[in-house]
Amino acid sequence: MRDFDLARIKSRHEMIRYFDGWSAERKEELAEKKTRKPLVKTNLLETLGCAGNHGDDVVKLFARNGMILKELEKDLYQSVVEGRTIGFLERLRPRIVALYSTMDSRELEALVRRLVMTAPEIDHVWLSGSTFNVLWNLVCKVSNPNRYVRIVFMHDSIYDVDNPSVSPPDIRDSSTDDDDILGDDLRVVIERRAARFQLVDRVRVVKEKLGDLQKTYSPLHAISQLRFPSSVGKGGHDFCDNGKVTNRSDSFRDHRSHILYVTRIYEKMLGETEERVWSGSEVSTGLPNEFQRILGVPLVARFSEPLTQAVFEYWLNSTFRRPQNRFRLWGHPITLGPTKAHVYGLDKHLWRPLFLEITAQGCTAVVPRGTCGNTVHRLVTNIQRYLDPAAEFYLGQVPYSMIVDSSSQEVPYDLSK
Amino acid sequence: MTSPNDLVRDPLFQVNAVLWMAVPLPENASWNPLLSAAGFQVYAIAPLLGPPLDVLSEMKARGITHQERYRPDVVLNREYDRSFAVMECKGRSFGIDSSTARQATTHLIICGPRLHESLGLADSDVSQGAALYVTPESDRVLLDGTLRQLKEKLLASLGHASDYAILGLEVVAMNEEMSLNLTIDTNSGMFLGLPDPVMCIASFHRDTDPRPLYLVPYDPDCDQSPEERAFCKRVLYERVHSEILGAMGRAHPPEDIRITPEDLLRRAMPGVYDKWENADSMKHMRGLVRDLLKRLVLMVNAESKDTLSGNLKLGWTFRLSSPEAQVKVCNLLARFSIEKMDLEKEPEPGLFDDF
Repeated sequence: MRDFDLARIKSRHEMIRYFDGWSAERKEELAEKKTRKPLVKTNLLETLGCAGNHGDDVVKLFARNGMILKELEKDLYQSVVEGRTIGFLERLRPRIVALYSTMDSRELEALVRRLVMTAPEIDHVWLSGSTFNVLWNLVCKVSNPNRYVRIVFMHDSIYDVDNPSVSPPDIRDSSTDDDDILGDDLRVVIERRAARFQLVDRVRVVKEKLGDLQKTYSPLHAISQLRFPSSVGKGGHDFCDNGKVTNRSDSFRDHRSHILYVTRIYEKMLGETEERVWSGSEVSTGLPNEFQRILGVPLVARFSEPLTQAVFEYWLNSTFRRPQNRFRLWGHPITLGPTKAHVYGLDKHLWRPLFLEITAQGCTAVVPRGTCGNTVHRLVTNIQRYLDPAAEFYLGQVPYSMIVDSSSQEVPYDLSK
Repeated sequence: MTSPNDLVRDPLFQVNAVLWMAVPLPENASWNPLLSAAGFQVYAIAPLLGPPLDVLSEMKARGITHQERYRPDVVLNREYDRSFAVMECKGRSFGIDSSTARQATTHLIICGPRLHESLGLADSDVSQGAALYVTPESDRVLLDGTLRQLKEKLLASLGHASDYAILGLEVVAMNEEMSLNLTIDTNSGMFLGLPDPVMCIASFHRDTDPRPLYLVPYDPDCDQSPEERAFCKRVLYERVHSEILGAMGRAHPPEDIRITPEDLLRRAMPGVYDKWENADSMKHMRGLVRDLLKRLVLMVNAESKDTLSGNLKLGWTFRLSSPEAQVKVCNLLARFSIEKMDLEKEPEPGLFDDF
């Protein structure tokens, strides 16, 4: 397929046909191990304050942040950045949009990161290790057991280092998620536990072994990428923890169907999370001028092993003393002991309040009303990735994984819709 | 750091302790959610309650000293058996002739058979109510004596008064480990359905402060030690500070963000600030926030001129003319440290405190 001006595409039907053709060509190249052009990638993004039925809000939101959206049909837009059509943005659910593009992976990632970093109303869709564990169970259920699956595990205990004078990498240092593990002779050697490896095997083999392996080696809880095998051909769809999805199948239709499936689950998770955690919702009690104050339930993270005092301090200092910290949190901790602190701070991504109790044993987060459920999922993802891959999470007394599981059960795996 | 034994005397610590006991938490959490486990949830924080009018006039007619209306600290309810616990947190016991006894008299009347009327509910919505007190364990017996006398007085003159129960807070040391315990008297045990006479709420190391996150950060009407008052002020200020920074961060320049002490208090203490009817308390709270705002304004003005306009009376408007100006203001505000303020010092009364 020759280079084609995306601006000529005028409808959803044309877009799907175009990406279908592109995907088939790339799949052939992948088979020959000679990819000449980038794969189709989707970035799932959550938009705040655009939950109404009007697409206008989305258009304005992205325009403020340098992306012009030209409406092609309902909920589908051409995405133009600096005069260049870079792909298409589809509003899949009231709060979730998908940006489809065939741009170079690094270039696209930089663009999306810039968008997310600068706009408090735009965030990644955060798929935590716990969410992936539930999605993996779904893959087991819906896929042929002889299909190959690819799972990437990533745990980088950046706060557990042998030399505390070395600062942990901040948010701007993120490497691309789908890079292979690259050697780098010049890199400074920092001793800490860092696990990043991929597992490719048949679904039935992984299903049989993974549970036992996770019990033996905790970083195997930190799934950061999972491939849903294509339901119509070879290859599949690689979902990353930050909502980036790479189409490694020969069908864009199948890719989009899987995107829609996971998006529906995520949307239910978000709703369920917010309903449970929000504190400060007001319900009339019937008393004149009175309102019942209902306290939401907190997010409770329980570490599999207590953090050492050194790790605790390093985590606290490098999070709350550095503006560009990994957790994107702001606040001035109130020290209540060698391994206990309270923070009445902000989720600096959304600029919304978040109250935290941080101890060596775990973390409790109170989420005031209006703070998006994404904050919870980002916190879970980051704790698993950077602190404790085997940490257990609860919303109140309900295990977080149960909420993900129940959200997924309500969504049928019906890819024809 | 306030010693744990002094902390259990602090009414605001007690209120927050009760709230966390009523929040669902997983097993082995750092705080024992024993009230939640017994089926109770928070129904209201500081609702304004008063006895039915006919009871009120009867109390007046019989010369019973009382308060017409008051705000109990917390009301809990249990849906499945429609039980309501109206809770008061007291740092110490009180005598039968004290002003607190007037409030306790109303408390014992309200929680009686017509509690549903005071709560504005149907008769069928409330099956039983109880007046619950939380106090240091060392004051529990004394308080029991006062409440018993008040109840007997009411029974003799009015013919009805509610049951009461007392929960005693105590810190017990076991070598380096400490345990914050709740002693549950017979009435509390029966009403709340709690099995043990003594239950551990939180275990903590000797060098660690046991307090939970403060859901209610500040109460000017609370009788607190200067140290505890300063701590609560810090929590309030941290929350106000984060509200101001959040408002700047969420803005879309060019945009003017107007900030007033009242708005900040409403956001930092949702549902609580508006409930204070004591004009002096409201004035005090506004004065506190105005003092913080003044310091923030001074700092921003020194580093970023032309960003601010306004005054102490009407509030301040932050003029975010461009994304760069927004980043600059956010960075300035983020660097400001509440910790470095002298929090035990009360702000000077200002010209605009009455506004």
